[in-house]
Amino acid sequence: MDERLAMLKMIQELEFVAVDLNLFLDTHPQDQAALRDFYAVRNKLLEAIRRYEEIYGPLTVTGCTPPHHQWLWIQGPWPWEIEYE
Amino acid sequence: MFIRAPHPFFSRQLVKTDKMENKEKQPSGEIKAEAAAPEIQAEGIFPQARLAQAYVIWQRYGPIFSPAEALEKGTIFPELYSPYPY
Repeated sequence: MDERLAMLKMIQELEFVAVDLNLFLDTHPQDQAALRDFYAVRNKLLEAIRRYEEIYGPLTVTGCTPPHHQWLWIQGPWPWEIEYE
Repeated sequence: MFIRAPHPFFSRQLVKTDKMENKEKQPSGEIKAEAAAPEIQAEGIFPQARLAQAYVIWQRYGPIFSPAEALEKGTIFPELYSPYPY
């Protein structure tokens, strides 16, 4: 798996963990261990997204990217054009 | 504890009997758990069938899967991971 796919995969994994912790915290809002894990995952995720977007362009249309002189959003690949395996 | 609320299926009257007319006079609001009315019990079941009561055990936070394992298994919680046996 090349570097780009590996970074995408890590972002997907961290996003999934964040969502599942989100669901747990909705019913356990005072759980300190879960809160600690959520913020740790959140920081890792934001850092992973920042590093990915710096190299490969925005993941979302409002994604944080350094100033460019062209519109990067329509540059490929689209999600369905990525060959994961 | 349990609030009686109209339900499109269960609030409709199937067959009106003397017994059911007595039931209808029960005031709305809190009701106690009770065996299902004889009209809607399955025949031949003993003890008397009761309406279902669902409950969920309160989850405690413990060790969670690594991110890669969690995405693969569909949950971060080992206690919630229960794949079908086929």
